[in-house]
Amino acid sequence: MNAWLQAILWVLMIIVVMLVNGSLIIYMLRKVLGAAHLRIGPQELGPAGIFQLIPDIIKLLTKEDRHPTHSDKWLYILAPIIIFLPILVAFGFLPFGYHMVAADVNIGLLMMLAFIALVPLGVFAAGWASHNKYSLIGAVRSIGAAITYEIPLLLSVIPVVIMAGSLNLSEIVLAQADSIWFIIPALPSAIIFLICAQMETNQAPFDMTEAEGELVAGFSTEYSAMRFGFIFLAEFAGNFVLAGLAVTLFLGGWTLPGIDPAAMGIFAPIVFVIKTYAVIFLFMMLRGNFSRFRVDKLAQMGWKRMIPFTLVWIIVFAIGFRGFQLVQPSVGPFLNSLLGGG
Amino acid sequence: MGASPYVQMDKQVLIDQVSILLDGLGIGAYQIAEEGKLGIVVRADAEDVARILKALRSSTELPFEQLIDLFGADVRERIEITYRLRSLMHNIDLVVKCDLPYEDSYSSVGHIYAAAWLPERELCEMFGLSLLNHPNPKRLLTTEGLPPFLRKSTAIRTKEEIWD
Amino acid sequence: MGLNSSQDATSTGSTISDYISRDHEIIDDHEVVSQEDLTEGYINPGWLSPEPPSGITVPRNVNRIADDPLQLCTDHYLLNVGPQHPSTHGALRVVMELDGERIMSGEAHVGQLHRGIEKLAEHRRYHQLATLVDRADYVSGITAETATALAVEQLAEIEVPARAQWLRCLMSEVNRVASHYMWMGPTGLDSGAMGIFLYMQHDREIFLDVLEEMTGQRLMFNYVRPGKVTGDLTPRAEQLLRDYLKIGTQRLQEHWDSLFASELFQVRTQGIGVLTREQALDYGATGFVLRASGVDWDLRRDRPYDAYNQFEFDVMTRTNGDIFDRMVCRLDEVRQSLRIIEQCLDGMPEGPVAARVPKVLRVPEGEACGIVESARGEVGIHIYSDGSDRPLRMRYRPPTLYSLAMAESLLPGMMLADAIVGMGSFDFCFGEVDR
Repeated sequence: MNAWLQAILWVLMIIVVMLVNGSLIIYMLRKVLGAAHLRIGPQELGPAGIFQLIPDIIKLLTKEDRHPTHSDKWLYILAPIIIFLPILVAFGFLPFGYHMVAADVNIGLLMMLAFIALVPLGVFAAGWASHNKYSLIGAVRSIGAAITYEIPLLLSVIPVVIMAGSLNLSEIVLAQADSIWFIIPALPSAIIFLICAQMETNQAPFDMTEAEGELVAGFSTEYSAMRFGFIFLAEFAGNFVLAGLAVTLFLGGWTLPGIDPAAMGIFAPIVFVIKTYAVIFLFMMLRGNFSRFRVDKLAQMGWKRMIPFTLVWIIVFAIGFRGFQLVQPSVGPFLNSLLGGG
Repeated sequence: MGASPYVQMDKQVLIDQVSILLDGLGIGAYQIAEEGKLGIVVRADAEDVARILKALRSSTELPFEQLIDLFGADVRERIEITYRLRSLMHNIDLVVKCDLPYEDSYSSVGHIYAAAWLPERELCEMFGLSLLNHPNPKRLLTTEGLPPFLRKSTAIRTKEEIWD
Repeated sequence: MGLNSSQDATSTGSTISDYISRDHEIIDDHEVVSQEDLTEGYINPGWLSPEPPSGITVPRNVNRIADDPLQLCTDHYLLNVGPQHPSTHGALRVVMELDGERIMSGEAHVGQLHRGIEKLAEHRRYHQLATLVDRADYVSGITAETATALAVEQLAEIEVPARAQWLRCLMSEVNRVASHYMWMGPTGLDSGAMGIFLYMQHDREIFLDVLEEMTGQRLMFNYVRPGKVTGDLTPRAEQLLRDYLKIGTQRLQEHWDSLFASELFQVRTQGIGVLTREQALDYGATGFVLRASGVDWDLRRDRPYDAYNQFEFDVMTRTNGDIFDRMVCRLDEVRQSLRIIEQCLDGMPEGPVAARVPKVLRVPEGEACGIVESARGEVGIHIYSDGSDRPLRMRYRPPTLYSLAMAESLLPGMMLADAIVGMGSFDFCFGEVDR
């Protein structure tokens, strides 16, 4: 019974984190993009407009919930949930601190990537069910883009797994606490991962699925009220999950260099969230000012550039890492003294 | 001062050259003259206009590369159609005019100047002409069933509107 | 310089001909015209046969790519873009036939904004025409007003005071800059770049402030009347312009860096939507469209009106005729406009701003045509007068109506995403197309 209670508590906590995070990211997006665009952003409600979200939510909740006449009704209702749920589950694998993870499983990384990869399915369902050609084009684009970025995304985490020797996200974090942040030896992987994460979350310059200039609002054209709210929330939650995954894999997760992980205590989630929001800030700055990729150019970039590059990089990295392991007994103590004995 | 690299052709020379060109085509019924503020104007029969435009466009020494404007005007007895051509090389405009009676048909010149495709549709809907030889002879600006607006006989307000 | 030295745009590899490498099949006509025939030389031997083809002639906007049996067979579908689409820049509706994301054919439907301006003009006095033509091209009204005033002045033989002429030039250039900023930004927005739109609006505000200061209005100026302008240069307007001139070059460089220098934007625009020099001439292109296709032509220099023969400025041309060149051409024009504005402010002659024009102007019988270089191309106001106080007929030559035919002809073979940016690059203003 205790296990059940614990599980329910975790789910509730994840939902609360997701909602709070969603509202924070929306406020941050408005302010960051506003500053990048010489605008002010929200400023009327509360100090610096921090309560702007409340009327937004009221608006979403009270709007008419309509669905198009010839739509596939059940799929139309189901699609926002299909988009929302995998992200919610993926939250469960993120380590927020020492033993602060909802599902500490051995294949946490794989599970997380698998659940994130389900999102395009929901996007496609939404576009397909809407009975709208713009939605359909957006949906087809999302599938085309998904098979483009999922492969480099998976390939880019392999160097991390090689270094950590584990697929458990908590162990990956602890491995980084023992040595160095993995972004330093695996910088190309980190860059590929960030690009793919930007594609995964449908953000400019990879927002072909919603491309407001071309497809009105892409797959979500026909969605209104809280159904749209779900899609909206899932987008920001996905933002957080992928940024959090990037932090976990490459930026040391909730640890800080030179501090004993067990001693982080309550500061661990704070460090993790701050790091995650720094990565989200990077995403937003990318989003501000670039032209959108054309869908065929994106496929070219994915298949002709990123996949061959990551494949070659994995081989190079594996050889280099093995070589490092061979010479480490002789140079290891010297490196350790350089890194402060950690 | 920014001076134009194109030297404007003398108007009398233009009149002479166009006359030679049109005489060579065997077009008898045309007048060419300088008309007030408008420049050189060629007035010809409606059925000759396509040949005249084609000759003016393909002429090597006097190429009028561009059709700048095409429009009609209801001058109370008939519809006067104006083509404004431009020679960039000689920096001069030439106006070609022809008359059509009301309710007549207008033959497209889009195959000579592609610029004419859309203005022709507008011309024909606005003056109630029927459009021939056009790939897409539909109305351009207004919907079916509306009167030809730019005719003088079409009032800008209906009787009821005036009464109100 | 000059026509003959302009580089031939066909040699730079048009994307359309890359897409449509196979033969064309013409609907409703058994004639098969290859792409070489369509682009090689603007005089097509087929179209200039001794007799014009009878019946249906070559419909350039419905060229189809012949179905290749070796390719994956897919159904075509119709997509209705507009009139409420966010990127059609006004009330344009384009019905596209799509194969996946590739456009097979497209037809523009216009007229949603038709207000009968030409008909209404027949019931207005000559002073009142400026009010109407403002509503036609609602983004650069001053130039259209100038064209109207020029036509009426030619007919009525009114001498315009020198200061009024200079003020017209100044305000035309201010309006041109505002218009170019208004339309470059959204074209960036069409390609997905959000920032540049707001940066350019930020700059445009200054020019709108100047227009408001001088005319009392931000869009419908009603400033240029036959024989005069309605307001003199105010100190605040001059100060605003002088302040902007100090930072203008730097601001243009920033716009260049934030949009044009971005490789993503270049990939999206270079070599796409190519309008060759011959096509541009054939379709009656004027203004920046013509100059981007390599024709060195500007009415301000070649047919100087008002005081334009007293200014030093360059006519900016590009050679490729693609979307990128049309955008860059406009950015270069902004730089030249700033030069003209500076010269206007420095050398403005003293004197009255209005000639003595009767309250009810009756012009002699005849016809006249006032042509000016608007932000979008050549605006020509053709007035028939029958000797009364109202025109018998007023024709507004809308440059973007002609651009619309060009955009329509470029659609087949383009991707949907490119078509949106491509149509944006022609700078449509539907108040003007529909009148």
